[in-house]
This record gives sequence, structure tokens and C-alpha cells, in this order.
Amino acid sequence: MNRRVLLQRLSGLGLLAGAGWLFKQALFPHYPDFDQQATWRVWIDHLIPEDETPGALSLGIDAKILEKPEYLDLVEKGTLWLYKTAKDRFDTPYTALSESETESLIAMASKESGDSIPNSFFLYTRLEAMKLYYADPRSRVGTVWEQNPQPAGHPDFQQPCHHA
Amino acid sequence: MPDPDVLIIGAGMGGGASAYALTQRGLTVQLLDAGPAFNPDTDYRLNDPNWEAERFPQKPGSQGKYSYGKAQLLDQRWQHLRSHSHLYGFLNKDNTRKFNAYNHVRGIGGSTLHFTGEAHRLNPASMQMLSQYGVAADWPVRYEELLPFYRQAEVQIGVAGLTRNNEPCPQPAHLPSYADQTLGKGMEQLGLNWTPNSLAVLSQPHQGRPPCNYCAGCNFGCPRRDKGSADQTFVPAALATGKCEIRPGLQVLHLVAGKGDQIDHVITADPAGNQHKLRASRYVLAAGAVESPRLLLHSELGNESGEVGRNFMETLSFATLGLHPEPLGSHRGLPSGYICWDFNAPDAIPGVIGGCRLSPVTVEAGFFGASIYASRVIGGWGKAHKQAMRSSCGNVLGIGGIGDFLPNPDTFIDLDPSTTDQHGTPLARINSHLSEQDIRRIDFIAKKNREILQAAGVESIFEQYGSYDFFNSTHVAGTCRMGINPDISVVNSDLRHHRWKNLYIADASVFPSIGGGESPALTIAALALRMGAAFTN
Ligand SMILES: Cc1cc2nc3c(=O)[nH]c(=O)nc-3n(C[C@H](O)[C@H](O)[C@H](O)COP(=O)(O)OP(=O)(O)OC[C@H]3O[C@@H](n4cnc5c(N)ncnc54)[C@H](O)[C@@H]3O)c2cc1C
Ligand code: SF4
Repeated sequence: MNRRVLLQRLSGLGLLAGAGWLFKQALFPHYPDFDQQATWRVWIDHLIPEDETPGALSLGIDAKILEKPEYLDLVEKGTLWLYKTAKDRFDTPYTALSESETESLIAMASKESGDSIPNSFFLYTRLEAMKLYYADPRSRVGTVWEQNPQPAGHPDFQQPCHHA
Repeated sequence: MPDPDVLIIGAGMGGGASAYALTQRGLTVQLLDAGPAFNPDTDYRLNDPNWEAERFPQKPGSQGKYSYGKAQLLDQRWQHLRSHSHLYGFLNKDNTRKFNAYNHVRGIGGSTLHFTGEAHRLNPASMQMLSQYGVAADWPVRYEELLPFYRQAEVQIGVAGLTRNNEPCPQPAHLPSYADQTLGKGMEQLGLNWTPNSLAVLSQPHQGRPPCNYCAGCNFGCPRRDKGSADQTFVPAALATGKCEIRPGLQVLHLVAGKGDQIDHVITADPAGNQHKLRASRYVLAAGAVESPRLLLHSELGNESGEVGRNFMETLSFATLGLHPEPLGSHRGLPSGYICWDFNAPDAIPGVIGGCRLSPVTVEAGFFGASIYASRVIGGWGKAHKQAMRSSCGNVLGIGGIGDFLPNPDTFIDLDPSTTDQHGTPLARINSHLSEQDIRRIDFIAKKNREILQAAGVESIFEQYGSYDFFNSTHVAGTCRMGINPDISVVNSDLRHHRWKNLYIADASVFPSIGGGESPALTIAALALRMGAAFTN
């Protein structure tokens, strides 16, 4: 799925639906200290960390995204970008960066140009992670969505809605 | 079952109301639908913790296929009408309009299964667009002739609220949600009227169905059954007569002509591709404004006027969404509980022919659950994102307008020359073009939306989405126009085909004009009930 198709879907009435990412499988050079799984887990943990509610890792969001074949190439390319950029900027593998260094890389990916690997990686993995994370009721504790819409409905619908 | 008196093709609002009207008059009916039957207890998901994952459930056969014609070029002058998100920028980055979707459901109940439940009577002035304003066509039925059938439909469905001209509906109006009250304050400040909408949603028990409990999830399918979709209202009443048989999963592929300008039989296909021949004395085509012309064109029948597929009227809409500082809880109540009719008359928008209405759009635009807030409202990541989610959830306030769409020669349905469905039938191809008048109507709505949100206290607008750069239709009409003159219309005022004496059309394709934002389902039902009365007279 290219960015345009994604945005088109996004702009419809429905939520984003995952679909085939059309990158061709790339043959990466082998980097001895590039642990793709660990890089991916740190990325997801940074997107949705634990606070009063569980983080994305403890809800298994990292694994759920990898179960979707359409994300595999993107994750491979994105994590490689994280590894290389961390090495270039901080001379450290991504998984060993400090909190503020990790933060600077995510901010950098979010600001890269629209069709670039880091920006696509940021945009799509963030969207999918948020979608899957908030689909799990454990993530919604403390929000107005603690209860499903039914069977109780919202008999208080005429009053302001003070957050749980 | 022996051959029925009437075979109805399509079990949406048109087909369901036809089945009701005809069985009440003692006729036997077979109600066919290409789509499946839905069971609110097991198919709808608002009880499910993962309810947000899928808006309305898809089942095998519940989505039709269609294709699109050429996309219209966008014009720099109207740049401010482009759909835009604060997180993603322009949602359509091309210089042409994009086809997003013809939103529909195939199944027993048709698109009413996921509709919002607005139950509007048409403005009588919008039924005389040709004689009064020189556009579209006049209805061959007067509003006064339709009124008893509107009332009958409202009673059977259990419509609650006030009609467009402030007449009480059979059920008391729903009370305004806190978000609707907030919009109401903005309306009041601007001197606009904000009245209870007329809704096919029960405010009191009716025919064994409970009243609404204000979950706002109507577009996801109502598991309580208080929403008056055709499968909960007309179809059960038809079945209760013992004279109606429902046949889901049967797509009609062909209408086959017989002697003496009569349809002889139809050819249907089940999901496995097995074909059957079905016969009746009369046939009611109620497949919707996209599929009815497709079936006639593919059958090479009924297009003596050349008007089948032409005069397609799509949904002209514009939605604007912002964040409000107060905890509105805008995910509660009804998606479209209140409405402003002030600009609904054909001459109500200065310098433009064709009106519009304004109503809440928060939930219809999808801002109903945590996933969509996380992906479209709250930017960023990390703990700050989670905190912002907690403090802003339920605070989105959206207003939208739906406007008139005037038929034009470039907006029509034809058969796709190269793509077919699984049965080898060419797809319906949707061709769409906005005229200058249509775009100016959108412009008016967009301006009003912003004024209203600001007056209601919205601090920042984060998204706007509209028909200027996206085709995205929920209300479609006009492709088998009704009229007096057989040279320029397809059916007469009783919905009977001008030539084929045992063929009737009872869906929104017969509308000569679409109104200034009125939702079409109640008018479809009223026309079908009127057809039923004419049938047996
Ligand atoms: C999200 C959404 C919200 C809406 N909200 C409102 C609202 O609040 N109020 C309102 O008035 N309207 C609303 N609408 C529009 C409304 O749902 C439709 O205008 C109305 O349901 C159309 O009824 P119909 O009978 O003409 O066609 P449909 O509902 O489209 O029914 C046609 C049926 O025919 C069947 N069919 C098609 N081809 C064949 C074939 N060849 N053989 C057999 N069967 C066939 C289809 O499967 C379908 O079930 C909404 C629509 C959407 C998408
Ligand atoms: S708001 Fe009312 S009508 Fe709509 S789904 Fe919920 S209970 Fe049903």
C-alpha cells in the first residue's frame, strides 16, 4: 500500500485497514550487531510505553503487527534505518540508546519527507500499533471507553462526560 | 411455494416497504436479495470489546462491486475545500477528484442496516425543481399525495422527533445529547434554528422493540433492534402475514422479456453460481440507484427513453471536525440527534440553486472510539500521547452539511466495458462530475460549519472532509427517473414502467430530484407504500 492509498482509506468513514505494502523484498547486508527483533521491540515500546496502563509490548502489539505479512518488508527496512542512523549519529546500536536519543530518532522519522522509508515506517507502524493497542480493553482503562457501547448504552448522554 | 404474485428484487428500504404494502393487500410476495441476512444478536459487535475494529460487519456477499469513470480535475480556486487532516495534510494529494466509495450494504435490509436512521420528508419545494428553478425535473406526484404514505411509513417504523416543518412524529423526540446541546449553543449565537431530527430510532417501545439507550453506534448495526432498519420494521410485518418468502443470497442476473410488453421471468444466481429461473405475475425492481439501472442495462430492457442510468445524484457533503475544551462525551447519544433546516429550501443559499441541511457529524465521521482518536485526532507518541488520549477522548465536535446535487450529463451510471462480477455481469460504473453550483454549495456548507464550530467553542479544527475532492456517497438517486412523459422518464407516478406493464421500480432511482439534504429512506418507503396502494386499486 502506498501512502496515497493509505491516506485515501484513512479519509473514508472507516478506520485504517492494513493492506499489502508493495516494497520488493530487499537483500540487506549482514550487520553483526543488528538485532532486528530487539530493535523492533524498542521502537514499539517507545511509541506506546507503559504508564498507568500497560504498554504495547505487554499487550503483544509488536508480535501482532509481525503476524501481518504486509508489514514485514517495511519493518525490515525501518529497523535497518533505525540501526544505521543510531550508528551514524550516536555510534551506538539503536537498542542501547538513551531515552532522549531514542526520542530524537522517532522525532526525526516523523519529520522525514512523505514517501521516505523512515517516515512511512513511522506513519504506518504507529497507526497499526495504535489501532491494535486501543482495540484491547486493557488499554482503555481510565478513558471514556472503558465500557463497550452496548449493552448498557449511555443513559447519561445529556450530561458532560467526566473522564473515568 | 407456487409462483408468487409479485417478485421483489432487493430487500432494502424500497423492497422491504413494497413487500409490506403488497402483503397487507393480500398479494403473495417473494423478496430476493443478492446479500445475506444479518442477525443483530450474533453479527453486530457493539457488545464486543473489539467493537471498533470493523464498522459494519462484512459477511460473504454483503458488498457489491462497482467501478468508476474518469476523475474530475480539481480547480485551484477551491483549494480551501480540499479534505485535510492536521496529522496527514491533504488527504487527496492529486489534482483530480478521487473515488472513495459508494457506501452500501447488500442484505436483507439493504443499506438501512448501517444507516443513521434519519427519516425525512422531502421539502415540497424541492419536488418542483424544473418548473420553479429550471433544473433537474419535477416530481409527477405532489407532496400532498405522498403525505398519507409518509405518515403510514412513520407509524410502521416508529419514527421519533419533529418533521422538517415541525410536525410531531408518532414517537416523542429524543432529548439532545450534551454534544448536541453544545452545538445548539453555537447555532443560537448565530441565530440558527436547531431542532430535534426525525429519526427511525425508537424513543418508546414499539411492536416489541425497546427504546434506544443512546450508544450512538447506529452505523455499526443496532443490536437492540430499536433502529428502524427495513429488516426490523417492514420485513417482519410482511412475514407476519404468511404471504412473504425471503430469499437471501440470490442475485438477479437478467430480466427476460415475454409477450405483450411483459416481463416473463428472471434469471437468478446463488453464491455457488447455480442459476435459477423465477416467475411471477409482477416484478418490483428495488436494487438501489446504482444496481437497478445496471440490471436494466444488462438485460437490455426498459431503456426506451435512454434515461436509464442518467441523472445520477450523489451525496454532496462536507464535514468539519474540531476539538472542544469541554468533556463533551460526543461518542454518546444519537449520531444525528438534532438538525438545522434553515438552508434546506432550493433558494435558501444565496446565489446557488439547491439547499442544504446541517447536522452533527462526529460519530458518522467515525470519531466514536479510542483507535480513531489515537490515529486521527491525537498526534505524537509515548506517554504524552497516552495522556492526551485520556484528557481529550470524547471531546471531538463535528458538524456537517449535506446539500442538493443537481443532475448533469457527466454524472451517470453505465456498464463497465471491461470488468464483470463473479457471474460475468458487467459492473456498474459510477461517473461523477460536480458542477460549479454544486461546488459553491459545498463552499457555503464549509463556511457555515466553521462558523458554527467556532460559536460552539471549538478551539482547533483538526480535519475537514468533503465531496469536493472525494466521491463518497451514502445517498444515491435518480437513475430511473419517474415522470409523466415516457420520452424523458422511466416509470410513471405509480412507479410502473412506461412500457413494461408488469415491471415496477421502487427505490431511490426513481427520484427526479434529491432535495436539499433530506435523507432519502423515508421517501423511498412512502413511494413504495403508494405504489402498493396503486397496485391493487
Ligand atoms: C452510512 C450510511 C448512512 C445512511 N444514513 C441514512 C439516514 O440516516 N437516513 C436515510 O434516509 N438514508 C440514509 N442512508 C441512505 C440509505 O441507507 C439508502 O438511501 C437506502 O437504504 C436505499 O434504499 P434502497 O432500497 O433504494 O436501496 P438499498 O438499501 O441499496 O437496497 C438494495 C438491495 O438490493 C439488493 N440488490 C442489488 N442488486 C441486486 C440484484 N441484482 N439481485 C438481487 N438483489 C439485489 C442489494 O443487495 C440491497 O440489499 C445512509 C447510507 C449509508 C451508507
Ligand atoms: S444509538 Fe440507539 S438506535 Fe443507535 S445503535 Fe445505539 S441503541 Fe441502536
